[in-house]
Amino acid sequence: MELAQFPWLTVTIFLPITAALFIPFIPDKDGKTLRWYALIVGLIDFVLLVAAFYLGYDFNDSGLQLVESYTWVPQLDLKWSVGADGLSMPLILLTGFISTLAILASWPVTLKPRLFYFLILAMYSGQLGVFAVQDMLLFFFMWELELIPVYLLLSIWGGKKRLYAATKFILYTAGGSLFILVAALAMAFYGDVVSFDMSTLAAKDYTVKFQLFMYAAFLVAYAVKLPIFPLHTWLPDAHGEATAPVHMLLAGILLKMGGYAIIRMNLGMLPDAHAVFAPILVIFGIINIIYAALTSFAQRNLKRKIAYSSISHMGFVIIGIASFTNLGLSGAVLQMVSHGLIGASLFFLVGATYDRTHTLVLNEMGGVGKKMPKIFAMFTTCSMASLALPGMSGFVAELMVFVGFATSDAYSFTFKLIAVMLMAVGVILTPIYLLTMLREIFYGPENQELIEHEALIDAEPREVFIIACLLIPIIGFGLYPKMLTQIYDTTTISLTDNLRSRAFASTEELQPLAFLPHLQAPELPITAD
Amino acid sequence: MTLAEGVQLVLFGLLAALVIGTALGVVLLSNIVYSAFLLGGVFLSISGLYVLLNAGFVAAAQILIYVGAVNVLILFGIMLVNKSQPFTPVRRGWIRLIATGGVCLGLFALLSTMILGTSWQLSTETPVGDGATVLIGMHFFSDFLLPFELASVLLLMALVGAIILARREFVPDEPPTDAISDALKLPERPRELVPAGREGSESPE
Amino acid sequence: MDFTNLASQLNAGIILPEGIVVATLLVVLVGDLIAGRASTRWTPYATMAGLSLAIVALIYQWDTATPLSFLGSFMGDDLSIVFRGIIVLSAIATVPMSIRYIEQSGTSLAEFLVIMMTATLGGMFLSGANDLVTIFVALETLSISSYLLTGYMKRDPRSNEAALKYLLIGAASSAIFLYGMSLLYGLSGGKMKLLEISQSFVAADSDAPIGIIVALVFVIAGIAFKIAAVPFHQWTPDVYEGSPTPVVAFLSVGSKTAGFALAIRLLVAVFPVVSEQWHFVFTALAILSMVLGNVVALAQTSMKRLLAYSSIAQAGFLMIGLVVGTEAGYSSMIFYLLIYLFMNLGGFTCVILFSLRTGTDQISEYSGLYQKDPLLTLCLSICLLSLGGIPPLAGFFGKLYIFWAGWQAGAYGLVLVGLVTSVISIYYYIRVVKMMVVKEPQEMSDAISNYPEVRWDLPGLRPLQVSLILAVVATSLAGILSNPLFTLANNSVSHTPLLQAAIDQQQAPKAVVPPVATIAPAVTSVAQR
Repeated sequence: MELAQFPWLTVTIFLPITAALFIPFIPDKDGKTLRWYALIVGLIDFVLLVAAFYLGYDFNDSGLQLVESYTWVPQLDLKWSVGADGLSMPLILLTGFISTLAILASWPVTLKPRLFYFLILAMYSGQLGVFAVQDMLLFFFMWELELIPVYLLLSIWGGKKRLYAATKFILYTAGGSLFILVAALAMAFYGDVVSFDMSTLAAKDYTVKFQLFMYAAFLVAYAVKLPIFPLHTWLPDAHGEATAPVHMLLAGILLKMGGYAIIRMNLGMLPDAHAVFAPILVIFGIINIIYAALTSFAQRNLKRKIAYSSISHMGFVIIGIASFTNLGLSGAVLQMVSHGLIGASLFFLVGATYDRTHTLVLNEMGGVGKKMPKIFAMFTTCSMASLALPGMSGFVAELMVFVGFATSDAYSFTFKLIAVMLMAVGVILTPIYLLTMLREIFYGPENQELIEHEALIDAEPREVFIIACLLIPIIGFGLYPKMLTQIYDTTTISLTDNLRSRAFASTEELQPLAFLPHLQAPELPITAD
Repeated sequence: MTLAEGVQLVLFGLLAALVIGTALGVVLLSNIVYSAFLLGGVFLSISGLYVLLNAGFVAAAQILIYVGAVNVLILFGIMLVNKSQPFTPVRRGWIRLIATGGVCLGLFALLSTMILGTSWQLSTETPVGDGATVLIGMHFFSDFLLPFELASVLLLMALVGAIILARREFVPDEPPTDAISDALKLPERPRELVPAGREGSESPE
Repeated sequence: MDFTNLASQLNAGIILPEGIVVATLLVVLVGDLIAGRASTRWTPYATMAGLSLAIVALIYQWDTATPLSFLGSFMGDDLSIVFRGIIVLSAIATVPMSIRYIEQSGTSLAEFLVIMMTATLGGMFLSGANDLVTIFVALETLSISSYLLTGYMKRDPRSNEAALKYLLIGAASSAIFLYGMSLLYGLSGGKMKLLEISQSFVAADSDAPIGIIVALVFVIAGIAFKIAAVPFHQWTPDVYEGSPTPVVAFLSVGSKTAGFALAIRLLVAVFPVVSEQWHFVFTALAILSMVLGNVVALAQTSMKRLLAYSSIAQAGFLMIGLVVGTEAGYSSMIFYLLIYLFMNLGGFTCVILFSLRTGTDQISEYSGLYQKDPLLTLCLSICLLSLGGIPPLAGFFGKLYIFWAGWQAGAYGLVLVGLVTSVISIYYYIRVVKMMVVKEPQEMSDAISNYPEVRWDLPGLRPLQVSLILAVVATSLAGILSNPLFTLANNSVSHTPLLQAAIDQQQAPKAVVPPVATIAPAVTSVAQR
């Protein structure tokens, strides 16, 4: 098959960045050529990704597909090695989708457009790279590649406190990524074979103690990105200051890098350590859900509110990862994709609202629903998706995580009971703050000052189109989740099987929750099956 | 102990005392002209030590170069800069003196321990004595040819450099009203108006 | 002594590159004498041509069968060829920077070039010097030329101050170095050649080589002064600030490279007996340099001082390769030097261009440069980000190789310090980038508001532009297409008998290190950070 041999992933990774290099030479008098150029590049790349998915990808194969491997720097054992399995494929597609929509969403950007589109396209490449690479050093390379574009996108086009937010972002991320390199070096030089190839690293036989250290290092790095409490503090700042398109990328894709990397590395390569860390992850997941939901409740700034809701949703990803069941893990992946879509749509709408009201403070809004019925409708729909209304993808994902965790045989019943109850509290908090937010923006008496001073025009067709594009998969996955889960099911099943066989067979002495004896209640007759 | 050895011992003691004494004088005297002359004394005594070691050529070179050139240059420098500045005593200067003395004594102790504690490999060759000039010439044109030739480049460049520093530049005569001329200066503005020689305030050291 | 026989033994062809430099030097000097001021038109190009010819000659000497020349005074092995090549390249790159700079300051160009070529010559001889006398004469040639260059702007009190400081501290360190060499001479029983000295040490076989250690300490003091390692760095910021900027560029690359060449040759050849001790000393120097250089750089307001401290820190990274002492270690050091050449000289070219146009080098004056001069902004950003180790620029690969080699050899502590400090370094490099790119038009500094029209047709600016673009292209691509450089660095190490012997000797007594036991404390120290 010639089509199968076509270097799909390499081409799709390099296309945006190569196209970006031509941006300085494109004549752009009225500022319109450039955005069309970027949009077309993004679209072509997305089409290529979809083509790769249809022509070269097989759902039933749990291994790596579309594999390409070329030696890059033999002295460092650095290989250009890309490939996609069930875990990366949905996220790669999501990246193409959200990035293209983000370019479409950046129509109103007029400040330094050349730099803006250059950075957006560079980011496009970097994000695809993170999900596609199969070599640890290359992964680190791609991970760091993200740094400067995001930094500049935040610091030039952001809100008032953008410099602070951008600096905080870069220090957190650079500090975190240091752990990736350390762990990668330690794992690569472990044993006799020096290799950075992910599958080779996964096959190495590490001691449990070593695994624990590596797990902790990776966890710190990815907890910054995901984010996991208490390493989340950069996120509200960064998200609070970014403009809508950047925001879509941050919430839609960047956060998923953390979740993806935890599944790929912590679960895939260090299964023994996962058995020890999983309960801690659950606890952190719960803290994420409840703490972020409560904090979101108290925010008066619209963007920060939604940013905290993102953190809260990421808690489900963590719990799904720690559930030791296929259902839970599957739910975690679904939650990542689903939140990518929902988060992007919400942040886009916040941006659209801000374009009209020019304020993000809830107290200064109110009653704009009459003037902007379309935005009102879209905002409501997306909020419903975010609060996990049945029929939308968020509901399915959270339900899968719930059921997966509740049926997990890795935890004692009491622990599960408490955890599920707390998670439920989080789920109840979500509609409260989201609906309050809606009420404060759109309902109630009209804010006279706002009505008089700002031109509150309703959504234009471009905006409706973007939201429609995002809502179709949200509702589609909500009604028929198999559409998405079938892509990655084989991979997550094999991953969970490996995890379970290692966690329950080999480390008898590492009984889960052994270090939390007071939670180890006597087994009740109603055990989870 | 033969007579020759005795004389050598006595002479060594004398010269060593002279070296140390004059060197202390250089450091401790406050009049700079005295210091400069005493420095000449140090150089002379050291050349005496060379003579004792049977190294006549080095001794002569020492006198010619250090006393004849370096020391005279220093004296010229001092005399030409005919500017007497009142010496203001540094506050708590004695702390610095004590610290310097301590460091010097420590270094001396260290080096003497090292010198006494090391088994030096003594060369078995007999000293050439007055034939040294010939031998040095031979070395210059055989195994030390490269450094010898390189030194010529070094000297050429030192000459060029000295001329550059000393010559009058062909700067167009600026009108006297123009106080600040950019000629022969760095294009960058100074950081702030502090007199040269003071650290900038933001420098943390 | 038989002089006819001697001529054939000299093998003088080895120093052909140096001969070419001397010839060029004389041509420029005499040509300037005859032609007067009119010579400014051709002398820089003659200099560059002559130096390039020297590079060609160096290339032809690669892997020469009989590297030893001048009866053992000079060693033309591949290691020295690489170092000599780097020094000549840095001189070539300095010439175009200085044309306009020197012209604008009203000093004469030919003498500047002559002194710089002499410094280059000193550095080249230092890289291959194989006996104590040659080492010292070469070192002094380099140093005295550097003092002269530093004080070249003789009407400027800052330049005078810098020259005097440099001279005094340099002379003191030379004296200490010389004292150390005299101890070596005495300890070895009157030997001059480096290998003979070490052989006599081995033959003497004394248990407590206190004499050797004192000699080592003194020698290291001299070397550390040249490479500006903390705590022998005090001269660096003041000298860098007061010197003409092209001189700083040369000092920070050429002079530093020569210092490293001296360090490798002298320490590896003479001190295998006390190899543990000098490794320990250099570990301390490396840690101090990395920490202090990077931390103090955070507080700088002047660009030249910032680059001064950054160069101290970079020397710290380079020392990791030296301390590690494996084949990969030496190669990584050479590789990093090659890359450092491009990025640092590129950075200095930008700083010179900026100060020529605005007359200042304050970091705050850079704010808003993007609006007025995008090309300069781009170039300076790329060079600084590369110095900070951001992918995909060359500096990332350089640092990666050093850390890779360090981890491979088990120098976990050093690698961790290097990683943490390089995260710190990102902060101050990006501060400058932020100044230039992020600032709004209304935040523009005075220098930028009065920025002259960008024109390249002034005399001397064209070569500056060409060299700038070459340096930036090299910085951007040397990482991605780094294979030739990697091969060059590796070959230069593997083809050098001196280093091979040292590597074998180092590996022989070392047992296989159990990885977990050594990694575990390293990782704990990460966790504590």
